[in-house]
Amino acid sequence: MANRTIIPFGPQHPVLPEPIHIDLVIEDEQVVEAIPSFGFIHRGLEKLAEKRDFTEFTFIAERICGICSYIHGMGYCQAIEAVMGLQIPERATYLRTMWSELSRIHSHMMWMGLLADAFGFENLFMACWRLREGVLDVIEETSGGRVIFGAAKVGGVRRDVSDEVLSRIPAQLKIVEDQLRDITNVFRDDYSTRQRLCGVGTLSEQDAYDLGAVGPVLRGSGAKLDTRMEGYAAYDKLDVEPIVETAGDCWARTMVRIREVYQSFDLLRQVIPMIPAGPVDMKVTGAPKGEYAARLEQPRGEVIYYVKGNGGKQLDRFRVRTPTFANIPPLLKMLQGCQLADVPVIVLTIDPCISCAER
Amino acid sequence: MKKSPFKMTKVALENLFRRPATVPYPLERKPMYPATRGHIAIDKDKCILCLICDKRCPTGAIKVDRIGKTWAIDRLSCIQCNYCVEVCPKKCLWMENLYATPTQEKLAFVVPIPYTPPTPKPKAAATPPPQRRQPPHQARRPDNAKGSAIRNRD
Amino acid sequence: MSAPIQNYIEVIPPRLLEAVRAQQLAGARLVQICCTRLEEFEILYSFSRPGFFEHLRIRIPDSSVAVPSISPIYSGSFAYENEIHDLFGISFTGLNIDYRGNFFQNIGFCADGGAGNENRGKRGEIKVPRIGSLTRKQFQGLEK
Ligand code: SF4
Ligand code: SF4
Repeated sequence: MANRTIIPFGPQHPVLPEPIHIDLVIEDEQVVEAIPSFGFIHRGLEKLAEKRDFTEFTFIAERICGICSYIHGMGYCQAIEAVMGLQIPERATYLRTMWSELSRIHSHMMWMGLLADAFGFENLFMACWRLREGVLDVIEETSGGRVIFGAAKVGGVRRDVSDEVLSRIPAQLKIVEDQLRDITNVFRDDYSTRQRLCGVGTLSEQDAYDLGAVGPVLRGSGAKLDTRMEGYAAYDKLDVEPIVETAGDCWARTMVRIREVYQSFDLLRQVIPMIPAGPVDMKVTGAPKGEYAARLEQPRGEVIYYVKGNGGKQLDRFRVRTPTFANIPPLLKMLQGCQLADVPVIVLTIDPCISCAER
Repeated sequence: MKKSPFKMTKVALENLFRRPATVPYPLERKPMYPATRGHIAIDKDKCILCLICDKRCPTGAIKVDRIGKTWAIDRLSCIQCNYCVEVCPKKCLWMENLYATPTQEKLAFVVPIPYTPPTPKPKAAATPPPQRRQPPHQARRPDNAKGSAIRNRD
Repeated sequence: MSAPIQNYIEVIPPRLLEAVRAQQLAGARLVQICCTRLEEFEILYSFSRPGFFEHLRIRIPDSSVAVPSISPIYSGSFAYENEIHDLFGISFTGLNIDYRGNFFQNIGFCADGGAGNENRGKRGEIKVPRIGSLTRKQFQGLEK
């Protein structure tokens, strides 16, 4: 029998933007078991909700994550609105949809760059991030912030976007989209990319479903589940079809994300002309009493915001279950049996966002 | 779908002959969008020292002193959330689209306000409550639940 | 497809595993486990299947009561259960992967683990009282 060795992976590792520690039990070059541990950046945000006014907590909710910030804020507001029974103005729902698709594009493009970086393709990494600037510009022009949108608000959105700006967006995104084709072709067809991604970290559909995988990890294994199909915000008026790949390996997950970027461009083209005129927010009086669990689709997968209010200004409980947290058990499954050199790539294909997993 | 080792060549060559995507920063600056949230500015003639922005700011960045008649902002803890702009009753705050300049001091930006709050005068003369002598924020901040996140830990 | 209806179903702790197994037979997927600290502890198990979003709720009076783990049924539940153990001090029996309070490493800051935690001392001394294992009422008493 080969010798068993434990190799610590993280919390500081070149491929990890954020600290997670995984003890890899290896036999020769093969990982037989992976044991994660958390808690390096636990910020106690859930507890903070019990101390803050529920409207002010929106600002904290937006800062749970620095990448999918808008959807965090929006999900929190959606949960509060459901508890309070508010029907937000229609224009706000469309603007929310637009912003969440923009944040999906920018998150996926950033992830593509990080993946290229993880398997040592610096040039591709730079190319992805250069194009992402184009999307960030659109975000800044509409919301005022590059990554923290600051646009979520209980009862609508915090700022309106003029029609003139809205009408310019499709053309701006078209430029990004055209240039992106070249780059995604590299991910799809390049020899070295395929060598690093194909057949690595395979997860069967059954395992993915049983272990509670969400988002591109789940869809990359062939399950047809996308929370956007539930039709929150204005998604019920759009044509959303889950993007599914069946291989279940790192390459399939990459392809799911790449195709989702194009799907988001397409959804934006659909949604922007549909934005109706009208007010963007409403006056909120009273306080939440009751409980609700809102589900949304983040770039990384399904996210849950559970809100329990007691009729006072402070919430009794705010809980967010982020997609990364749900993807940890599948990650451990994927790591079993892989080569040590593939570990960084596999960890990266779940798109780990550790600070939001720990909140 | 064919594997090819030359897929990147086109992107790489284009990259080689294109102008840099970045701007040479101090010489040339990227134009700001009108919507960009840069920093908070105040029209000091309109402010009535009502303390609403002080109370509502989620990070406690604004300090309004009714006695000393100043409005001050800690640009380092301001998160550009625009909340103070929305709640100000006199609409004397607004968001500039230029980023704040670097600073080494907190509370470096203090504005004297010409306005004199009229109402408390007669009452204060009759029965002055002891806390009135202190600037309100100093009396309120330390053990208040509305401080920064760090102070709120259990 | 419109948003599924949310049901909150109260379950008594001894019948929890039965109810969870029924969810699994219906083809549901474990979405989350959430613990709430009120006068007592409330643990919410959320399950989703097409058209339904159901929550099973159990209530336990305090953290000395051990809860049966659902990891024999949903093996991915160990992450949530270890998290609840570390943050609220509730112990779970029959966990498939038990970290014994070392899942969230930052033990000086977050709550201390519950009973049966013999590994705890190895990572460092614990200075805080067992905040995690108190109910809200006891907790507020501590603050005063
Ligand atoms: S800036 Fe506006 S909100 Fe703040 S004290 Fe002056 S008038 Fe009041
Ligand atoms: S923008 Fe937000 S953080 Fe900054 S001073 Fe105003 S309310 Fe405070």
